[in-house]
Amino acid sequence: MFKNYLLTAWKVLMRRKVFSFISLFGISITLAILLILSTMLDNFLYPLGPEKSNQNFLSINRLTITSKDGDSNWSSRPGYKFLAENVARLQSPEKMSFFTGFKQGTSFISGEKINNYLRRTDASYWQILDFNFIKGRTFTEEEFNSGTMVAVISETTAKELFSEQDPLKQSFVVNNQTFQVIGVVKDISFFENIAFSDIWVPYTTAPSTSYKAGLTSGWGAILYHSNKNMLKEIQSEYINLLKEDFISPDPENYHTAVSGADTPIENLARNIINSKTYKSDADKLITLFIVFVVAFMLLPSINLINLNISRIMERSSEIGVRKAFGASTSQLVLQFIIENIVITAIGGVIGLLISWFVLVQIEINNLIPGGHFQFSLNTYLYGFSMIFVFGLISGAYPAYKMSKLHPVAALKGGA
Amino acid sequence: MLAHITKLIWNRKRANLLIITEVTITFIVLFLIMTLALSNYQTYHQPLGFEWKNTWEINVNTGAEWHNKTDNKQFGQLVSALKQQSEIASVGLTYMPIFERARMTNTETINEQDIYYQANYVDQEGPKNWGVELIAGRWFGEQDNGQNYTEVMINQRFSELAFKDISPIDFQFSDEDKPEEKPKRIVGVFKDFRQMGEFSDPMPYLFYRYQLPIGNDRGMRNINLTFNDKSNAAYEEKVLKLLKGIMPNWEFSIRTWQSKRDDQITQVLIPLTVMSVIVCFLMIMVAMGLFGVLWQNINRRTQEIGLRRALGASKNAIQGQIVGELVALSLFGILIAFAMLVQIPLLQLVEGVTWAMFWLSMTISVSVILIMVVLCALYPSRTAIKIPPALALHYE
Repeated sequence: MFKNYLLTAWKVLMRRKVFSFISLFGISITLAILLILSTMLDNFLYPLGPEKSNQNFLSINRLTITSKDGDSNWSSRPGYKFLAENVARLQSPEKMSFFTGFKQGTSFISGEKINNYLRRTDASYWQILDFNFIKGRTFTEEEFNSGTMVAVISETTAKELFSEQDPLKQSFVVNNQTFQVIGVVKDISFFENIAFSDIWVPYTTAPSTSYKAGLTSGWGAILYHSNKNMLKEIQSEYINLLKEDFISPDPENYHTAVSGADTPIENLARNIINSKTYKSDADKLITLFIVFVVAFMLLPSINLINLNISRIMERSSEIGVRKAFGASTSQLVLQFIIENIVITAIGGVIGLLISWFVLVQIEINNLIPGGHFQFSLNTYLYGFSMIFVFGLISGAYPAYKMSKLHPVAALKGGA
Repeated sequence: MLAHITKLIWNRKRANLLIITEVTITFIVLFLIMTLALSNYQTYHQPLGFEWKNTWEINVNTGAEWHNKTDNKQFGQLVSALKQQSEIASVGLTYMPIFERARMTNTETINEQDIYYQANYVDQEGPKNWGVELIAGRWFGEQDNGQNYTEVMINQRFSELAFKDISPIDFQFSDEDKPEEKPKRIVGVFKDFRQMGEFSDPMPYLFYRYQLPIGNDRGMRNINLTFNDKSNAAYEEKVLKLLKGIMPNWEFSIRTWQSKRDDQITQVLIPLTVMSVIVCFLMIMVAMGLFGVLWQNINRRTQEIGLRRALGASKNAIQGQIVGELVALSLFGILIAFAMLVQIPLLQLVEGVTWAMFWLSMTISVSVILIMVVLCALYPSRTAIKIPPALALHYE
């Protein structure tokens, strides 16, 4: 019987090719757009690069400091002084790492200017994040402590600086400092904004120690624990520390500190919604996202419902015959929903191909620096559940209308 | 005719409800993207107030908070070293960077009006060299040294908002919360200085004078250079060496205003393009859907059409009826959308959407939807009139 439904679905699809095309066009474009969005989101939340262990760490990326009278506040990345004097006192993380944001690093190769991103990190950064080394190694604790001028660079940067030569042990100048290359890593996706950069060097090599005085701006931290369930504890310890025991160099001007140790989604929410409280407002962001997806699917769904109703009415005599021979309403509804899911599935596969094509184009043209988009198992799951929901929504109402047809009227061909 | 069409629509209200919903949603989406594009276009075409060609920005990072006593002196050394270079035509200073989404704002009550304005510290020479136009009063300068006021300059928008037709020159105002500060005195009015670039909303703007020998607690962040000849990358290396020679501990990043401006434009255009492409696909999808539904409907109304033809209705009358029905339906949908969207300028829901812009994008969106609808109805209505009346009446 199921086979029969599939066969009918196929015949109906082939009978009116124009209409089938219209339906498929709508379905595939809608699903392609949703798939592209969800793949990007998936790559952000479950990265495949150095941040793939992001279920085990939290990041501190924003800090808002308010003066005692409440008149002025600074909202930026935390500064080194804040991290060293406050975050460093946390007990619950197993490992923690401090590093700068990525900043412009300028080199000149035979009169040509080359701009790269430069990040200064500590040694534990490389233990928490899982970089993919093509060649060489990262810097050791000793090299970090002694401020040795060594650098890890990305594949593309290695090509820019040394073209075809072996980059290991070579020296190069960036921002007027000379570094020796000790490792080459694969390019990092821009979405992995904790790991992202082109050049990484120990922060002890900074041209001056003045960074130690900065309470705000420029830095970031990650807090690691091998047990995922401990992250909640780290979050509350951090907030308690800021509330009860914030050490400030100037309690008059820098009175209260508001920040949070965030998971990737909380981090995204804090940046987009710009929360000025300890809470990251991740739930707001998720609600917004769901509202957007539903709103976006609404238009194509109504369109498809419209088309489906017209198509069903065209088949009213067929339905009349089936009713006259005793087919029940539920059988008819089931049949039509299955037919619709078959069409949606075909559209979905086309949509999958389109989104794959678009993502490859984004990657080839480097529209998002270093972006690698891979369809994961998750993407397929999203994709197929979307197809299913879409098919169900756009099939249910027309099927209901069809089942209401009076057999005699239907046989006559009227509605 | 209209009454007839309305009756026909009413008779098929269930089926039509879906079409109306579809038109309403499409119209809202179209209107929103249109307003976004139009408002961006409009702000882009307002005068920027300064020249950006052949200018570089050196962003100075001392690595910590500014300590005026020591840092300002060293900063002064950098500036005078740059001024001695023969290739450099002018050296100007700003606190807030140009062509970036960062701003310093403040609110002040002047003539019983709250003025929300953007401010920046500049040195006295900078704005002149970037082509900022003075329209009233004078530039601030050495004559303001050591006076019992803080000299400021405002832009035309500030002047119009706060002073209407009265001249703002030599007007003094001060912050009530900070009585220890010297009052601000307006010494001049300039045309405009849209520091955040062409896509930023024009705002009241105020220049404070940065006096290099004295400095201030906030410090200085950006040195902007203009050149006698076209500048090049090789020269950049020289400048960087020069600066590092004086202050090896500070970090400098050099960018041209042009490249910063290009980046900003791309940042606005990319999301707008992506959205437009998506909206285009949505429109095509809806258009094809409407076309399909209409075609199907006409096949089912063959008898009705045949009857009208037999009773002597002309081909044009039938075509008019079919197109008219769909247009009437769409207008109904547009009306619903209009009732919702009119709230935006009415309640000032979104800043910057004026009535003029509202009506403009309304007109464009209505025309686009109507053209789309008429195009969708044309082909099916043509098939409808091709059916011979005799055949249509026999049809079953």
